[in-house]
Amino acid sequence: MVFCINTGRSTQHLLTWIHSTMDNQQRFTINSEFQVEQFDNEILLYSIADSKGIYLNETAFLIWEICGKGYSLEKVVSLLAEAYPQSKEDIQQDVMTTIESLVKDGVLVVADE
Amino acid sequence: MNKKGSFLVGFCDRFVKVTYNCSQAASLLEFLFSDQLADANMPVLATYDLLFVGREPMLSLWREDRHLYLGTSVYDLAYTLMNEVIYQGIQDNNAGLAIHAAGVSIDGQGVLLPGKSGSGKSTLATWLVARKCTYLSDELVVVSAHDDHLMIPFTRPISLKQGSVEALAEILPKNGSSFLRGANGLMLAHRQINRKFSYTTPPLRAIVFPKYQKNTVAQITRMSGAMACAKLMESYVNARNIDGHGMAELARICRSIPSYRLTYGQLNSLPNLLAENLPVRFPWTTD
Repeated sequence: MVFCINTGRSTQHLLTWIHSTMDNQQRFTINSEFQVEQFDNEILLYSIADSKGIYLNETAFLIWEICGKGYSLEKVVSLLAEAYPQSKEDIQQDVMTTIESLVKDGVLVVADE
Repeated sequence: MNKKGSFLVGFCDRFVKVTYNCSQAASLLEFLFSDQLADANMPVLATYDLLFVGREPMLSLWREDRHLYLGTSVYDLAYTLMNEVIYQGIQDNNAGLAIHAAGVSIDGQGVLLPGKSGSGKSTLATWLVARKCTYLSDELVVVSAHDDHLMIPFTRPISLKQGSVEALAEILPKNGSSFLRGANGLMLAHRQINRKFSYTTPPLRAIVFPKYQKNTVAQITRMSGAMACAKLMESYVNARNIDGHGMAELARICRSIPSYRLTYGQLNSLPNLLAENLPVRFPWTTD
């Protein structure tokens, strides 16, 4: 079972916790073990230590990058809503789903409060 | 009459010496490594001793004073020795990117079939070899950093698990001396499937990630470079030996070589599917 470095919670526990408690001020940090390899419109995040590669599409990469800059969830959503006004309705849910996936894959870490 | 001697076996200039104490042991080594023998004066990384003792022989495999196998199963002994030779071939090997993969050559063009154990790579390779493709390996291929990405295969007998034996029942010879049966499967001399063989290192032209699912109609989809690279990482076994862990080279391969995900179970739909999608000319296609 994978444990989050910062909280000691199991991944599944963590995801449930994120979903139920993620407030708009929640922040995340990038797992520095992962490096970036850019393909045309896609990204591969890879960790040699774990022999693990995580494929991200353009949107997921954007969310990963914004989260890595220390912005709160609320700010991530508002930045993306600004960038994609036509998808504004779905952005909050899409961002949360993407962040859950990024945390599950270990490339994002829930920051300590 | 007892016959003692030794063979040097391995690949990518990484060889081990295996001694034997009788003709039966020598025959086993010839069966396992006939495509990977080296000149006797090459430097060796390790020495293994293969001993067959008694009329119904007690078999043992030794590395110096450490026994690696002791028992009566030729298959289990062969499996253990094969894994040792592969381990020595990968350990510190920086000749290229070592990929846990099967491989075939089709009209001089290499097709890599990476996958974990049980993914169906040996089954697919055997099926292709039975259709006149040239066998390279069912286990390990080193892809060189050369511009043409040459495939350097570790060519060994085809190792099939019981499920694969059933799936390939129509292809496999019903009897013959070039089998080694074990509780979990068999090893089979690839020349039993296709006699036309010469050791070759073709340029890599396509990567196919097989996934065997019993009774499934075959499906193939093209993968993006990033997806292929993520998938190939799972089978990349010598990263620590390569500068920068070889990731730039792995990405370069995935950018330039088309990659596909193949799910298959029923074999009869494969010929058209592969011929229509892969950038190689299969033996069964006509102009």
